Amino acid sequence: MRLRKLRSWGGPPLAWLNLIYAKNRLVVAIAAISFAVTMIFMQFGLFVAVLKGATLVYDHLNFDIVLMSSKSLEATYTQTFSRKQLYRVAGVEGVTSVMPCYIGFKAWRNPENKQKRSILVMGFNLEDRILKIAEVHKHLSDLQRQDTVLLNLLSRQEYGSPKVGLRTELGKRRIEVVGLFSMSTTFRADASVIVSDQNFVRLNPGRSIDDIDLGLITINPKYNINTTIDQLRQLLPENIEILNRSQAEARDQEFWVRASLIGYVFSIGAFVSFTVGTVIIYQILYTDVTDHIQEYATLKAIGYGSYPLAKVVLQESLILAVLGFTPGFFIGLGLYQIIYMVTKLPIAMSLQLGILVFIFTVLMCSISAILSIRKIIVIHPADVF
Amino acid sequence: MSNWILFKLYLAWQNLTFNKQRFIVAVSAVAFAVTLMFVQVGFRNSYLDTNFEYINRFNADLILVNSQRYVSFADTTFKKNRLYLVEKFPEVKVAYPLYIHIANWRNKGETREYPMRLLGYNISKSILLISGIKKYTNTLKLADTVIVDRKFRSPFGQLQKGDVAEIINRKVKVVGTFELGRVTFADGNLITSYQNFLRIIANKPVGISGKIRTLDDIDIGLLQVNTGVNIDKFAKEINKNLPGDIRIFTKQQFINRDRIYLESSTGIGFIFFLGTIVGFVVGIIVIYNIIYSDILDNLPQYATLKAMGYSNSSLLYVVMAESLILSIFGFFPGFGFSILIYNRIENAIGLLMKINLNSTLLVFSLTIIMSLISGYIASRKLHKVDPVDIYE
Repeated sequence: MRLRKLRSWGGPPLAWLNLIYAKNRLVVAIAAISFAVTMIFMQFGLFVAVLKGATLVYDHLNFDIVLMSSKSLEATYTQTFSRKQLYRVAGVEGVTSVMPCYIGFKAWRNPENKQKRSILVMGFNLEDRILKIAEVHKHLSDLQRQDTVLLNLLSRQEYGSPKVGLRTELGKRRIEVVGLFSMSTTFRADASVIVSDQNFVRLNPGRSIDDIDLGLITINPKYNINTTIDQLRQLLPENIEILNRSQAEARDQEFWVRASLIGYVFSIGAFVSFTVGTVIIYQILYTDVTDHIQEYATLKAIGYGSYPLAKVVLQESLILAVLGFTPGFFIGLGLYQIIYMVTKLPIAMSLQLGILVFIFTVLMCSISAILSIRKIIVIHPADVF
Repeated sequence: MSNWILFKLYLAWQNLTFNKQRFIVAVSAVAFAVTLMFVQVGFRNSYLDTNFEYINRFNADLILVNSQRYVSFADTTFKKNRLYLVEKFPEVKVAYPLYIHIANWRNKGETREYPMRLLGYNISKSILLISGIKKYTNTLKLADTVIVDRKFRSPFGQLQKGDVAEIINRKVKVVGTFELGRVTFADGNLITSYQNFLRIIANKPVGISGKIRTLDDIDIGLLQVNTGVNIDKFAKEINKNLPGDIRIFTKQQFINRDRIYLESSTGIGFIFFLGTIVGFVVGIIVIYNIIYSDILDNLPQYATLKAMGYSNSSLLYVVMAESLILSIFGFFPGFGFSILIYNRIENAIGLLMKINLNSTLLVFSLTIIMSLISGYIASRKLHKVDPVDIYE
């Protein structure tokens, strides 16, 4: 059996020879498929970018469990809850630290053109290590002074060029920029500042230091996080949500996918690109089949069944899929770079994305192969003439 | 001379349609490339249109806002006395306040909240031109009542008359519906009387900035001017005489400001522009492939024509005519298919997807350019054709 299989390899398969016979046409076919692949890469890539962008705030925070009001829409659009609730759980077994986090928006006056725009303000107790941003920890003593902020280097240009020593108006207060940090901007906030909790309260008159937006909890890794969450659940009122990192991320992702409609928009984009790809490949295979219809009929006349001939077309389509995917992948990579440079969306290639799009490419090619195979199946050997 | 052109067109037509099935496949490939471009252009426009549709509905000649309100949905307000100040100008007939707030909405029995855009104004005056709203004048005077946008399907489903919910911790009742269209920063549209607006927002910090608002804080002032006043000229003049904290815009200026903001700050414009370009390139390749296959198939015939004395350029015209015919035949089914997709999207999620003249012309010209480029590239093959190739 094995031997027979080996012997049946009499040189490169017919499918390959069919394809490379007309080199120019093959190049065109590959170009067409690779652009369809690029388009699908773009749509999926943007979708993934939005998912990634949705969790940027969490990515920079150091926590295992987060507490938030059930009325909060997402990490940067929150309702406050009492800090006492957070401190109540500090004694729970396995909890190593509880850290309040203050989040809000204030009007920032661009010192250059005096225009105001709203900016994300994040406040924290300077003794807590809640931020995973190294630059912040160098400026802790500066942040202790009244009305000082750290400004995000990656803030949009509409906020003025970020530099240390800048003095401008934030909310109703005159503040000084004592340092810079970098953190990717989010969908809601295209600029951000970091302040101490004391300064946060100064910026928000009427708000007490007891009103917190997020309660960050870290857990001793020896303890099971789910058991701890169960224990917290028994202590805390219903209107406080207790989420581990992945739950918190999923909650915000769901919010942004829904709010920005991107799930819908990009799936339609991907669907149309998929259809275009299918039609293109169908057109190529169909032309190929009709051009060689006499040969196919001859093969049938000498005793080949429909099945092995259909297999040739299917093989052709798979070869096209692989050949078209490769350039499509690289063009996609280039487009991601361009999109990142222009929009700063966290768009990037990943293995999963590559595999997913490859599966779609194969699917696209197989569907068009199946559509064009019909022609071979119905052909009669007498059609040679 | 005209016979000449007719002959070329005829030849092109015969070439294309000789194999009917292949022609249909070719046309549908072009149609899908056209659809791809339409979908990208359509999403780009709808992201913009849908967010400023409410501005189109303002029954106003001029719009008054705080000069720091850099986009129509920022939350900077101005004081009511500014509205009275503007109303005193002899050119101004009347000025109305419009209150807007992105308010948290909670359905009965749920803990999750959703952002909803709440518009409050004097319902008895035609301030927003939305049909069927006036009949709610009296109902909306009842305490804690709102009407909801039925076009805009919220994530939790369609709200209906009689539904009860909580909005910023105040219980309200839905007493009717209207049609406006989706916005991308909220999960629904609500309209209520200004009295109810006050009831809902009063005495608590609201919004993303946590301010405490009253009816004295107006989001947008809508001005109607007396007949005979030149609106553009008046807008320019009045801005010179106003205090610096407020500014007046014409409707078009106001919409343009939002357009610029949305395009530049969200990257949406760029993403769909890129999508359109990729669709365009796909189209070029599709048409090229069709024309090129045709030339290859008919190479001996083209060689014969050359042997008979036809010049390269006259054969080029035949090929160009073929690609033009293909693109025009592909455009219309693509256009029809796009209208279907647009309608489906609008019905499914309330995003306003309008086929407008500009986007149609844009896609049509892209299609034509696409066909000319690919026709031209494919025809280079003909230059190389030697009359002797007949015997190949």
